[in-house]
Amino acid sequence: MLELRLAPESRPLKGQKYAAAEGSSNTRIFHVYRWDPDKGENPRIDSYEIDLDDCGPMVLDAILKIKNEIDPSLTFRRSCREGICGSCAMNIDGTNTLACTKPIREIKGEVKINPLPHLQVVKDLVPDMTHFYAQYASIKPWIRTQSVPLPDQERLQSQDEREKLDGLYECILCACCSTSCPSYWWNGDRYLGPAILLQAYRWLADSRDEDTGERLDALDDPFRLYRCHTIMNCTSTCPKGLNPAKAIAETKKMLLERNGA
Amino acid sequence: MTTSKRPMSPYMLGPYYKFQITSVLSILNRLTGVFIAVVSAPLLLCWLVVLASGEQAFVGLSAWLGGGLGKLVIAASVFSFSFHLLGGIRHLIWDAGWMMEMSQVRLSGWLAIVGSVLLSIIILGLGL
Repeated sequence: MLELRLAPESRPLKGQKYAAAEGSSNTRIFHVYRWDPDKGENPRIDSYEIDLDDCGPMVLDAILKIKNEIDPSLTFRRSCREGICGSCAMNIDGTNTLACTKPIREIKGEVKINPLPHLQVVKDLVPDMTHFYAQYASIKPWIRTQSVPLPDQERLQSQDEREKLDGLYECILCACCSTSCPSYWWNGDRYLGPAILLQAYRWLADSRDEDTGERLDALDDPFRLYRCHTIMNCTSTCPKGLNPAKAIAETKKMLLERNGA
Repeated sequence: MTTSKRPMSPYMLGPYYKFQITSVLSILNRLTGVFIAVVSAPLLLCWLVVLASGEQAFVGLSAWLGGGLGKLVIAASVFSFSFHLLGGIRHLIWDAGWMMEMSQVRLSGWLAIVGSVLLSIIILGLGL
């Protein structure tokens, strides 16, 4: 459903302000979305003044500094701190990206940090990804074959065939792209969204997969695939520099060719 | 332990998600399409009906179209047509899988903006 505003109980209110230690000169203010499930209050935006001379270079460093030194209750996901796990995906400075690979110096002025857009918030910067993962499972993201492999040989792939997976296999399922897509915000219950559709195309493009027909059947749906209107917010925001919109366009082309345009 | 209903994380374009050339031109393409369907095309049909209804009706509608509001509607219609045409061409190119790198998307976006303004000026200039 087309929602243009947050429900009253979801609207963030002004929160607390924390000043940096006296004598710090190179400071930056971080506005961080907070919501505590145990309090039953509206979300709030707390503002933390951080001394950048005493902080690592990335946004994740600033968030960790807040948790370690100011408020240990600040809750967020993070793991690898090098852009490969996808845990710290969040909305930073108005676009979705990974906190661990986003340099603070790339952001002008005060830094706004919110959870990934249009998801249910579990706590603070942790959104509920259940539906996203269920959609991922729905495309059966594993190799599906019908032929019987030779007993003494793997399923081989030429270099050219392998190259077709470049730009697809690198996806870490951080959900930055899907939650940047207005179409996914409003039709995410049935539209699969850019991340899952890029993953779906990853298997369509795999020369070893033998279930192309069934995969296309499952995607040939007004909502699952065709709610993509080529807005391109997904490609614009992908922290890995991938192109989900192009993968979706290629999927639509495959359907067009198969269905005999 | 969780008792509270979970809030929806903020998403609105503008205050929470930056307007970018990607989303702005997508919205503009929709708005111009709606304007053509709801205003421009019915107006064109009206004009055809008036053409067939004789001199008096024709003079009346011409006078209204020559007034301030009429000129504004014509200018908005011409721009909507121009932008929607170029936006549609962009979509056709994308549907072929071309010009989908971000640098190309930005370039074609700016071309559509500048091109639709130029096209509007040309069409309006020819009509005057």
